[in-house]
Amino acid sequence: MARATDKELLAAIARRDNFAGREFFLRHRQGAFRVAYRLLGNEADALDVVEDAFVKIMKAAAGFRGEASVRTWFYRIVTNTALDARRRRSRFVALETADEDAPGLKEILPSREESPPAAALRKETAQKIREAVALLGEKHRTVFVLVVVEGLSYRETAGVLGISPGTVMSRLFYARKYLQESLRKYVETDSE
Amino acid sequence: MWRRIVSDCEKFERAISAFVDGRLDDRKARELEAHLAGCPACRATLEAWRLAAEAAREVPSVDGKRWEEIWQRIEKRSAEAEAALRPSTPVATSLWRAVWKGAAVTALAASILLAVYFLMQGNGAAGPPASTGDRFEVVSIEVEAPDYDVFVMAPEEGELPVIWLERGA
Repeated sequence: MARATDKELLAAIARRDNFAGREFFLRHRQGAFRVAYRLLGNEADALDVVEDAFVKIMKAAAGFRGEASVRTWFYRIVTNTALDARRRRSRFVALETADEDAPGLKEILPSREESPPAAALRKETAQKIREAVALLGEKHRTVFVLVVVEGLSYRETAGVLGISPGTVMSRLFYARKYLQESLRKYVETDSE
Repeated sequence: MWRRIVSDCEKFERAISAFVDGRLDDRKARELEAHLAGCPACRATLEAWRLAAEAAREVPSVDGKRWEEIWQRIEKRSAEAEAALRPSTPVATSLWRAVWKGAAVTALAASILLAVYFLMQGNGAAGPPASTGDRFEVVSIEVEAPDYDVFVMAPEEGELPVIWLERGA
Protein backbone atom coordinates (compact mmCIF):
# COMPACT_ATOMS: atom_id res chain seq x y z
CA MET A 1 0.00 0.00 0.00
CA ALA A 2 1.41 3.35 -1.02
CA ARG A 3 2.54 5.65 1.72
CA ALA A 4 0.40 8.75 1.99
CA THR A 5 2.11 11.95 0.96
CA ASP A 6 2.40 14.81 3.41
CA LYS A 7 -0.18 16.70 1.40
CA GLU A 8 -2.62 13.80 1.66
CA LEU A 9 -2.01 13.61 5.38
CA LEU A 10 -2.80 17.30 5.77
CA ALA A 11 -6.05 16.83 3.87
CA ALA A 12 -6.92 13.94 6.19
CA ILE A 13 -6.02 16.00 9.25
CA ALA A 14 -8.38 18.68 8.00
CA ARG A 15 -11.12 16.01 8.07
CA ARG A 16 -10.25 15.38 11.73
CA ASP A 17 -8.47 12.11 11.02
CA ASN A 18 -6.37 11.58 14.14
CA PHE A 19 -4.41 8.73 12.59
CA ALA A 20 -3.21 11.10 9.90
CA GLY A 21 -2.29 13.62 12.57
CA ARG A 22 -0.28 11.04 14.41
CA GLU A 23 1.49 9.92 11.24
CA PHE A 24 2.40 13.49 10.37
CA PHE A 25 3.73 13.98 13.89
CA LEU A 26 5.83 10.80 13.71
CA ARG A 27 7.32 11.86 10.40
CA HIS A 28 8.20 15.39 11.34
CA ARG A 29 8.63 15.64 15.08
CA GLN A 30 12.39 15.14 14.90
CA GLY A 31 12.85 17.87 12.30
CA ALA A 32 10.74 20.23 14.36
CA PHE A 33 12.77 19.38 17.43
CA ARG A 34 16.13 19.96 15.71
CA VAL A 35 15.06 23.39 14.52
CA ALA A 36 13.55 24.37 17.86
CA TYR A 37 16.51 23.04 19.81
CA ARG A 38 19.06 24.87 17.73
CA LEU A 39 17.06 28.09 17.83
CA LEU A 40 16.36 27.93 21.57
CA GLY A 41 19.35 25.99 22.84
CA ASN A 42 17.30 24.17 25.47
CA GLU A 43 15.63 20.75 25.31
CA ALA A 44 12.58 21.48 27.47
CA ASP A 45 11.82 24.72 25.68
CA ALA A 46 12.33 23.03 22.32
CA LEU A 47 9.83 20.27 23.18
CA ASP A 48 7.30 22.90 24.26
CA VAL A 49 7.74 24.53 20.88
CA VAL A 50 7.26 21.21 19.10
CA GLU A 51 3.99 20.72 20.98
CA ASP A 52 2.77 24.25 20.27
CA ALA A 53 3.77 24.01 16.62
CA PHE A 54 1.91 20.74 16.06
CA VAL A 55 -1.23 22.10 17.74
CA LYS A 56 -1.06 24.96 15.23
CA ILE A 57 -0.47 22.51 12.39
CA MET A 58 -3.52 20.44 13.35
CA LYS A 59 -5.61 23.59 13.42
CA ALA A 60 -4.17 25.10 10.25
CA ALA A 61 -4.22 21.94 8.11
CA ALA A 62 -7.65 22.82 6.71
CA GLY A 63 -6.24 26.12 5.51
CA PHE A 64 -3.31 24.59 3.64
CA ARG A 65 -3.95 25.48 0.02
CA GLY A 66 -0.76 24.17 -1.51
CA GLU A 67 0.63 27.51 -2.66
CA ALA A 68 3.82 26.57 -0.85
CA SER A 69 5.19 23.05 -0.42
CA VAL A 70 4.22 21.20 2.74
CA ARG A 71 7.86 21.33 3.78
CA THR A 72 8.03 25.11 3.48
CA TRP A 73 4.67 25.51 5.22
CA PHE A 74 5.69 23.15 8.03
CA TYR A 75 9.05 24.76 8.72
CA ARG A 76 7.50 28.22 8.60
CA ILE A 77 5.15 27.27 11.44
CA VAL A 78 7.89 25.59 13.45
CA THR A 79 10.37 28.43 12.94
CA ASN A 80 7.89 31.16 13.78
CA THR A 81 6.73 29.28 16.87
CA ALA A 82 10.32 28.86 18.03
CA LEU A 83 11.24 32.48 17.37
CA ASP A 84 8.12 33.71 19.16
CA ALA A 85 8.96 31.53 22.15
CA ARG A 86 12.49 32.78 22.17
CA ARG A 87 11.40 36.40 22.12
CA ARG A 88 9.00 35.77 25.00
CA ARG A 89 11.61 34.26 27.22
CA SER A 90 13.56 36.95 28.90
CA ARG A 91 16.46 34.78 29.83
CA PHE A 92 17.51 34.71 26.21
CA VAL A 93 17.65 38.46 26.00
CA ALA A 94 21.00 38.44 27.71
CA LEU A 95 22.39 36.33 24.89
CA GLU A 96 21.10 38.59 22.17
CA THR A 97 23.46 40.90 20.43
CA ALA A 98 22.51 44.54 20.20
CA ASP A 99 22.55 44.36 16.44
CA GLU A 100 20.75 41.33 15.07
CA ASP A 101 22.68 41.61 11.85
CA ALA A 102 25.97 41.22 13.62
CA PRO A 103 26.41 37.82 15.25
CA GLY A 104 28.03 38.24 18.65
CA LEU A 105 30.71 35.63 18.81
CA LYS A 106 33.44 37.63 20.43
CA GLU A 107 32.29 36.53 23.87
CA ILE A 108 32.94 32.89 23.16
CA LEU A 109 36.06 33.06 21.04
CA PRO A 110 38.77 30.93 22.60
CA SER A 111 41.78 32.96 23.57
CA ARG A 112 44.98 32.41 21.62
CA GLU A 113 46.79 31.38 24.80
CA GLU A 114 44.51 28.42 25.51
CA SER A 115 45.87 25.01 24.73
CA PRO A 116 43.24 22.31 25.25
CA PRO A 117 44.35 18.71 25.64
CA ALA A 118 44.46 16.99 22.28
CA ALA A 119 42.20 14.15 23.43
CA ALA A 120 39.36 16.57 24.21
CA LEU A 121 39.91 18.77 21.20
CA ARG A 122 37.15 17.46 18.98
CA LYS A 123 34.55 17.36 21.73
CA GLU A 124 35.49 20.83 22.84
CA THR A 125 35.37 22.07 19.26
CA ALA A 126 31.86 20.69 18.82
CA GLN A 127 30.77 22.33 22.04
CA LYS A 128 32.28 25.65 20.98
CA ILE A 129 30.44 25.44 17.69
CA ARG A 130 27.13 24.84 19.44
CA GLU A 131 27.75 27.79 21.73
CA ALA A 132 28.67 29.88 18.74
CA VAL A 133 25.49 28.91 16.89
CA ALA A 134 23.45 29.87 19.96
CA LEU A 135 25.08 33.29 19.93
CA LEU A 136 24.53 34.05 16.29
CA GLY A 137 22.04 36.82 15.68
CA GLU A 138 18.51 35.58 15.10
CA LYS A 139 18.47 36.12 11.34
CA HIS A 140 21.78 34.37 10.77
CA ARG A 141 21.05 31.56 13.18
CA THR A 142 17.66 30.83 11.61
CA VAL A 143 19.12 30.57 8.13
CA PHE A 144 22.01 28.45 9.38
CA VAL A 145 19.66 26.04 11.16
CA LEU A 146 17.28 25.63 8.24
CA VAL A 147 19.96 25.11 5.62
CA VAL A 148 22.74 23.37 7.51
CA VAL A 149 20.87 21.46 10.20
CA GLU A 150 17.67 20.67 8.29
CA GLY A 151 19.05 20.58 4.75
CA LEU A 152 16.49 22.92 3.23
CA SER A 153 17.46 24.41 -0.11
CA TYR A 154 18.18 28.12 -0.38
CA ARG A 155 14.85 28.53 -2.16
CA GLU A 156 12.90 26.61 0.48
CA THR A 157 14.55 28.60 3.24
CA ALA A 158 13.70 31.80 1.41
CA GLY A 159 10.08 30.63 1.27
CA VAL A 160 10.02 29.82 4.99
CA LEU A 161 11.42 33.20 5.99
CA GLY A 162 9.91 35.38 3.30
CA ILE A 163 13.26 36.60 2.00
CA SER A 164 15.12 36.16 -1.27
CA PRO A 165 17.42 33.19 -1.97
CA GLY A 166 20.26 35.69 -2.36
CA THR A 167 19.67 36.96 1.16
CA VAL A 168 19.66 33.37 2.41
CA MET A 169 23.07 32.76 0.79
CA SER A 170 24.45 35.98 2.16
CA ARG A 171 23.26 35.36 5.73
CA LEU A 172 24.53 31.81 5.60
CA PHE A 173 27.93 32.94 4.39
CA TYR A 174 28.32 35.50 7.17
CA ALA A 175 27.05 33.05 9.78
CA ARG A 176 29.77 30.65 8.70
CA LYS A 177 32.40 33.36 8.75
CA TYR A 178 31.57 34.15 12.36
CA LEU A 179 31.48 30.50 13.31
CA GLN A 180 34.83 30.04 11.66
CA GLU A 181 36.29 32.71 13.90
CA SER A 182 35.23 30.73 16.92
CA LEU A 183 37.01 27.68 15.53
CA ARG A 184 40.11 29.29 14.12
CA LYS A 185 42.50 27.94 16.68
CA TYR A 186 41.15 24.39 16.49
CA VAL A 187 41.04 24.13 12.73
CA GLU A 188 44.42 25.72 12.18
CA THR A 189 45.88 23.28 14.69
CA ASP A 190 44.29 20.39 12.80
CA SER A 191 45.43 21.53 9.39
CA GLU A 192 49.00 22.27 10.26
CA MET B 1 50.85 39.75 -5.32
CA TRP B 2 49.67 39.29 -1.73
CA ARG B 3 46.53 41.31 -2.41
CA ARG B 4 45.64 39.17 -5.41
CA ILE B 5 45.90 35.96 -3.38
CA VAL B 6 43.62 37.36 -0.67
CA SER B 7 41.11 38.33 -3.32
CA ASP B 8 41.11 34.79 -4.74
CA CYS B 9 40.47 33.30 -1.32
CA GLU B 10 37.62 35.68 -0.65
CA LYS B 11 36.09 34.72 -3.97
CA PHE B 12 36.39 31.03 -3.17
CA GLU B 13 34.94 31.41 0.33
CA ARG B 14 31.44 31.82 -1.11
CA ALA B 15 32.03 28.82 -3.33
CA ILE B 16 33.11 26.82 -0.27
CA SER B 17 29.86 27.77 1.46
CA ALA B 18 27.83 26.46 -1.49
CA PHE B 19 30.13 23.41 -1.76
CA VAL B 20 29.48 22.45 1.87
CA ASP B 21 25.75 22.64 1.15
CA GLY B 22 26.19 20.46 -1.94
CA ARG B 23 24.93 23.28 -4.15
CA LEU B 24 27.94 24.10 -6.27
CA ASP B 25 27.80 23.17 -9.93
CA ASP B 26 30.41 20.81 -11.39
CA ARG B 27 32.45 23.44 -13.18
CA LYS B 28 32.77 25.65 -10.11
CA ALA B 29 33.43 22.63 -7.93
CA ARG B 30 36.39 21.68 -10.15
CA GLU B 31 37.72 25.23 -9.92
CA LEU B 32 37.37 25.14 -6.17
CA GLU B 33 39.12 21.79 -5.86
CA ALA B 34 42.04 23.11 -7.88
CA HIS B 35 42.26 26.10 -5.59
CA LEU B 36 41.98 24.00 -2.43
CA ALA B 37 44.88 21.84 -3.56
CA GLY B 38 47.21 24.79 -3.23
CA CYS B 39 45.57 26.81 -0.46
CA PRO B 40 45.83 25.60 3.18
CA ALA B 41 43.77 28.57 4.37
CA CYS B 42 40.78 27.64 2.25
CA ARG B 43 41.15 23.98 3.22
CA ALA B 44 40.96 25.11 6.84
CA THR B 45 37.84 27.11 6.03
CA LEU B 46 36.22 24.08 4.42
CA GLU B 47 37.11 21.95 7.41
CA ALA B 48 35.74 24.53 9.84
CA TRP B 49 32.43 24.78 8.06
CA ARG B 50 32.08 21.03 7.83
CA LEU B 51 32.78 20.71 11.53
CA ALA B 52 30.23 23.40 12.24
CA ALA B 53 27.58 21.54 10.25
CA GLU B 54 28.31 18.23 11.98
CA ALA B 55 28.23 19.75 15.44
CA ALA B 56 25.06 21.75 14.84
CA ARG B 57 23.18 18.68 13.60
CA GLU B 58 23.72 16.89 16.91
CA VAL B 59 20.76 17.24 19.24
CA PRO B 60 19.77 15.29 22.36
CA SER B 61 17.70 12.18 21.76
CA VAL B 62 14.15 12.21 23.08
CA ASP B 63 12.76 8.87 24.22
CA GLY B 64 9.58 7.37 22.83
CA LYS B 65 7.62 7.75 26.05
CA ARG B 66 8.22 11.47 26.09
CA TRP B 67 7.18 11.80 22.47
CA GLU B 68 3.99 9.88 23.24
CA GLU B 69 3.17 12.25 26.11
CA ILE B 70 3.67 15.20 23.81
CA TRP B 71 1.39 13.68 21.17
CA GLN B 72 -1.31 13.05 23.79
CA ARG B 73 -1.19 16.71 24.79
CA ILE B 74 -1.33 17.81 21.15
CA GLU B 75 -4.43 15.67 20.58
CA LYS B 76 -6.08 16.96 23.73
CA ARG B 77 -5.35 20.60 22.99
CA SER B 78 -6.49 20.23 19.38
CA ALA B 79 -9.77 18.66 20.49
CA GLU B 80 -10.32 21.41 23.06
CA ALA B 81 -9.62 24.11 20.50
CA GLU B 82 -12.06 22.55 18.07
CA ALA B 83 -14.75 22.18 20.72
CA ALA B 84 -14.33 25.82 21.71
CA LEU B 85 -14.98 26.88 18.13
CA ARG B 86 -18.09 24.72 17.68
CA PRO B 87 -20.78 25.20 20.36
CA SER B 88 -22.76 22.00 20.74
CA THR B 89 -26.16 23.66 21.23
CA PRO B 90 -26.97 26.38 18.71
CA VAL B 91 -28.49 29.48 20.24
CA ALA B 92 -31.30 30.89 18.17
CA THR B 93 -30.38 34.55 18.57
CA SER B 94 -26.80 34.12 17.43
CA LEU B 95 -27.86 31.81 14.63
CA TRP B 96 -30.33 34.30 13.32
CA ARG B 97 -27.53 36.81 13.16
CA ALA B 98 -25.66 34.36 10.98
CA VAL B 99 -28.67 33.91 8.74
CA TRP B 100 -28.92 37.61 8.05
CA LYS B 101 -25.26 38.15 7.41
CA GLY B 102 -24.98 39.30 3.82
CA ALA B 103 -27.34 39.37 0.88
CA ALA B 104 -26.36 35.97 -0.47
CA VAL B 105 -27.00 34.30 2.84
CA THR B 106 -30.29 36.17 3.18
CA ALA B 107 -31.45 34.87 -0.16
CA LEU B 108 -30.42 31.41 0.87
CA ALA B 109 -32.41 31.65 4.10
CA ALA B 110 -35.46 32.77 2.15
CA SER B 111 -35.24 29.77 -0.16
CA ILE B 112 -34.94 27.43 2.79
CA LEU B 113 -38.01 28.98 4.40
CA LEU B 114 -39.83 28.26 1.19
CA ALA B 115 -38.60 24.69 1.27
CA VAL B 116 -39.90 24.29 4.79
CA TYR B 117 -43.25 25.66 3.72
CA PHE B 118 -43.58 23.12 0.92
CA LEU B 119 -42.39 20.36 3.20
CA MET B 120 -45.15 21.21 5.62
CA GLN B 121 -47.68 21.34 2.80
CA GLY B 122 -46.63 17.86 1.79
CA ASN B 123 -47.45 16.70 5.29
CA GLY B 124 -50.96 17.96 4.94
CA ALA B 125 -50.44 21.14 6.91
CA ALA B 126 -51.49 24.51 5.57
CA GLY B 127 -49.07 27.06 6.92
CA PRO B 128 -47.37 26.46 10.21
CA PRO B 129 -48.29 23.25 12.01
CA ALA B 130 -51.61 23.58 13.80
CA SER B 131 -52.45 21.08 16.46
CA THR B 132 -50.63 18.01 15.27
CA GLY B 133 -47.61 18.59 17.38
CA ASP B 134 -45.54 17.25 14.49
CA ARG B 135 -42.05 18.49 14.21
CA PHE B 136 -39.51 18.08 11.48
CA GLU B 137 -36.22 16.46 12.08
CA VAL B 138 -33.20 18.63 11.87
CA VAL B 139 -31.82 18.30 8.38
CA SER B 140 -28.65 19.45 6.71
CA ILE B 141 -28.91 20.75 3.16
CA GLU B 142 -26.08 21.27 0.72
CA VAL B 143 -26.01 24.83 -0.53
CA GLU B 144 -23.64 27.19 -2.26
CA ALA B 145 -22.43 28.78 0.92
CA PRO B 146 -18.83 27.72 1.40
CA ASP B 147 -17.94 26.78 4.95
CA TYR B 148 -21.56 26.80 6.17
CA ASP B 149 -24.04 24.02 6.90
CA VAL B 150 -27.70 25.01 6.80
CA PHE B 151 -30.05 23.47 9.34
CA VAL B 152 -33.84 23.69 9.23
CA MET B 153 -36.11 22.82 12.10
CA ALA B 154 -39.88 23.18 12.46
CA PRO B 155 -40.47 23.67 16.17
CA GLU B 156 -43.49 23.22 18.38
CA GLU B 157 -47.02 24.18 17.46
CA GLY B 158 -47.58 27.81 16.67
CA GLU B 159 -43.89 28.62 16.41
CA LEU B 160 -42.06 29.62 13.29
CA PRO B 161 -39.61 27.26 11.63
CA VAL B 162 -36.02 27.90 12.61
CA ILE B 163 -33.18 28.04 10.14
CA TRP B 164 -29.61 28.45 11.06
CA LEU B 165 -26.24 28.38 9.46
CA GLU B 166 -23.27 26.91 11.16
CA ARG B 167 -19.70 27.06 10.03
CA GLY B 168 -18.90 23.52 9.06
CA ALA B 169 -15.84 21.37 9.59
